Amino acid sequence: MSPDPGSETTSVTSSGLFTRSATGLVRGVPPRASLIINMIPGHPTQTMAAVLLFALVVAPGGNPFLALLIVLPMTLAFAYSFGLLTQMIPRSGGDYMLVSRVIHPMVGYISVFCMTTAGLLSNAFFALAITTAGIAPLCSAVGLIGGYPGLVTFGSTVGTSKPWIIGLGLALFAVSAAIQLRGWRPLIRIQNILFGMVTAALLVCGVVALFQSQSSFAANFNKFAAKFTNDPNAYQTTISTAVKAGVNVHPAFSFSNTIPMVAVFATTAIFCYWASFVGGELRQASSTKTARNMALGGAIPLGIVALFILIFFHSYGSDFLRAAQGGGLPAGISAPGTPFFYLSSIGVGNVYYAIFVFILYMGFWPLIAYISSLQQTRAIFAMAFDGALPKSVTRVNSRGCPWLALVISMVLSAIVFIYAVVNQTGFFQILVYATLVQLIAMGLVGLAGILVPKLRPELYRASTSQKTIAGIPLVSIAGVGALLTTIFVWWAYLHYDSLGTNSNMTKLLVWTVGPAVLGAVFFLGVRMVKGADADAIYKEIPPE
Amino acid sequence: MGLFGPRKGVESSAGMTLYFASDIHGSDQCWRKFLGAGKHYGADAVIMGGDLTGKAIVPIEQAPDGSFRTTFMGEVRAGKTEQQLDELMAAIRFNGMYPWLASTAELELTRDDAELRTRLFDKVIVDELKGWMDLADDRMPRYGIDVFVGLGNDDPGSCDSVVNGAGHVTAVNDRIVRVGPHEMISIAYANPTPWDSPRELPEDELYDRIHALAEQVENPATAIFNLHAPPYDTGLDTANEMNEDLTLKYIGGSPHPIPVGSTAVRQIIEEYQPLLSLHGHIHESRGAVRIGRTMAINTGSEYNSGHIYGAVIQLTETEVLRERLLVG
Repeated sequence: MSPDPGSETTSVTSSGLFTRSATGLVRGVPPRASLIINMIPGHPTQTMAAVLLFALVVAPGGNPFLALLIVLPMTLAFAYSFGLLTQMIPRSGGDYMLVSRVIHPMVGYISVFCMTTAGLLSNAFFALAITTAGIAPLCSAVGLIGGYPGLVTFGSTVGTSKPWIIGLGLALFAVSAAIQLRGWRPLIRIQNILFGMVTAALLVCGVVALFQSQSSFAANFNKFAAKFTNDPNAYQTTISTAVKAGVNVHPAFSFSNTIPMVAVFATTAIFCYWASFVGGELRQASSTKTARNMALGGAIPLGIVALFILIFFHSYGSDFLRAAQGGGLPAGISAPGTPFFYLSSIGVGNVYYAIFVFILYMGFWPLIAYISSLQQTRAIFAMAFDGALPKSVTRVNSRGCPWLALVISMVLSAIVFIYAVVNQTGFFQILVYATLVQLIAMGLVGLAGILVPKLRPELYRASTSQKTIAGIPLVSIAGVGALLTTIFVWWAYLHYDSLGTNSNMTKLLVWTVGPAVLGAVFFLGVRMVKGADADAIYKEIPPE
Repeated sequence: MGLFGPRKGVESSAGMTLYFASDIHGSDQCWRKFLGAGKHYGADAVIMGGDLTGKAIVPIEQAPDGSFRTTFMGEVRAGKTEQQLDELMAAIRFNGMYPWLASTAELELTRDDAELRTRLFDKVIVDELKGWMDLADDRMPRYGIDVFVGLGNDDPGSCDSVVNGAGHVTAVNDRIVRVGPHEMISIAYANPTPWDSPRELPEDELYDRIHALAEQVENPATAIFNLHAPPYDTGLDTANEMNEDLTLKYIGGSPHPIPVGSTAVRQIIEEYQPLLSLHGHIHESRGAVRIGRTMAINTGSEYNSGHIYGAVIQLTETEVLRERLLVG
């Protein structure tokens, strides 16, 4: 017979907690890394591209600074909805885990089907965009600035060739999987390096622009353009061409046009809750750091974007930027997709500088692809552990690879991606719906935030999320904000044709309400297969 | 009122309904729900599979004037009133930890002395567990629901005497008890874990320990084996693999699930083929599977969400009629 229970070892944690030897887990993601995870989906590079490529033209007269100010509370609403709920339920799985635990499992499945649909569309977009907004413009821009026509031609070929686009997109999937092959520690190192690269690219462009006067930029631009256009003042020609084409380069302030700009910014800037998907892997996930890092992950990029718009307007001229994105650039020198890197490189007039900033910028693609895929892998695992998916999807092969989960995720992403390449027009119509379907899931998390003090009072009271403003729970205030934001962005996308919903209600419903219905049907199907009474399964036991 | 409607009346006359849960790890809320589950699901008996105790103490520094201060889940909590203190202590208990009120001097002394900390753990665990047993002894007799309490690998030796000393509660650890017409054996020990928890045994010793008890069972075909560790590679024992530093191992961008159950437990189940085997230990591996004729169940756990994960099992003397995994 074996001896009596072993003696215990105790220790004291840095926060003063006394612990004993018992089963547990050291979580892998430190708070600083979680802040970066939250900043990646709304990285300023994306929002800056949205400003310079889209918002100024779509919404003439809209004030980008006011729009950013309006987006800030929207971003914070999602940050605090997700963050405070994750503090209460520190499990991996994001919206699925939060909504299923607070409202009802069926609502959790509705949410995860919506979020995953958006995730797969986003994966496909990033796989497409690495070529069309990354490699192709890089080659074209460096070729133009350095005087390498072969490189310009190559950039143009790559950007329009389906085999190239498919090959490079699939390579991006492979790279994003490869950088996740090992644990969090090496992954965080790679993540931080890539994040540092793309942020440095933006900062370098900003600092260079800060110290460059508008006349100096215009002179360098004219010198560069003259090689292709023989126009000694291409800067002014760009503006006048756009004006002739109907672009208002000096629009008067318009609040009504600021509203669609808010919707555009919201599309890129409100996803600062990404650490929620790895909630079970965050260190100190139950502490207030979780929500705080989501709030900072949303607010810091917005601040950077505001600063950089100011700098770029000052150095390049807001009229020139509006004209350039309104089609005014001479045909021979337009290189769409990377406006500020391109313009900064022209402003410096040095090919090595161009290569430097573009290579740094290329770090963005594997970074965003890996972040985007976190949602699907964690959702699959969370559902499998809840018994909704067969546990075999989390099983590994003899070499330790969770091949089925990986195959499911890769195949679904690849199908959407290849469709995107084959039918880019159709895909971009659908891509607009990605934001809207994702907002259904985000709105449900907002609803969970509103309801949690009422539906799960013990959980709420026992957490660090028990903060109030004027006696109202902060998580509920944030939830109301999240719901209102969801309604607003939906309204804006349906109201403004320029935002691209295409007024095709059938397609809109298929891609937004469709996944929600599928989620509900999936839940009912799982319960039917298991032969259980869904109501009894989740009915709360009255405690003694 | 039973969970399964019309079938219950017929079956309950021929058999019984059990509620089983495990791994509540110091959560006061889960213990109260465990006791409430009998009435809620119309069970004849409730069985706890072990790991009742919490893993941490939150020291609360109290000044002579009654004001207090602590760091709880990374947040400084301070207050002066009795109500604030009660709220804080309830929050700590909800999360499966033990609040400990102490003066500055006591706190500093204990912080620096491992022996004092060990004694403190024993004291708070015993006090809390005794409160739980008193609650069960007070409430459950009036409902006519039997309560069986086993222990798990995380429960220190000081727990045995508390559970053994309860009145209405039947202590089941390391013995054979009767649950209706069924003999039930219970073993708290688990196969070795990376944490060196209080009740772990190498597989061969674990086998010997269970075997010694199983050999005394008169009729294994109708018996219940309440073994804390789940059987190896049955889908009831899937946990994410860890590195040596107890961080999660990632492969292919995801946590890496592997079977971590006990080969001894699986061997015992295969050899004796009891009617039912009940398990916990691996919180994330909830499920029910057949191993030969044995219905094996791991209810899993999410104790610090305030939900109790359990199973309602309807059985006759020779057959498991239905089993349902529930969240309450």
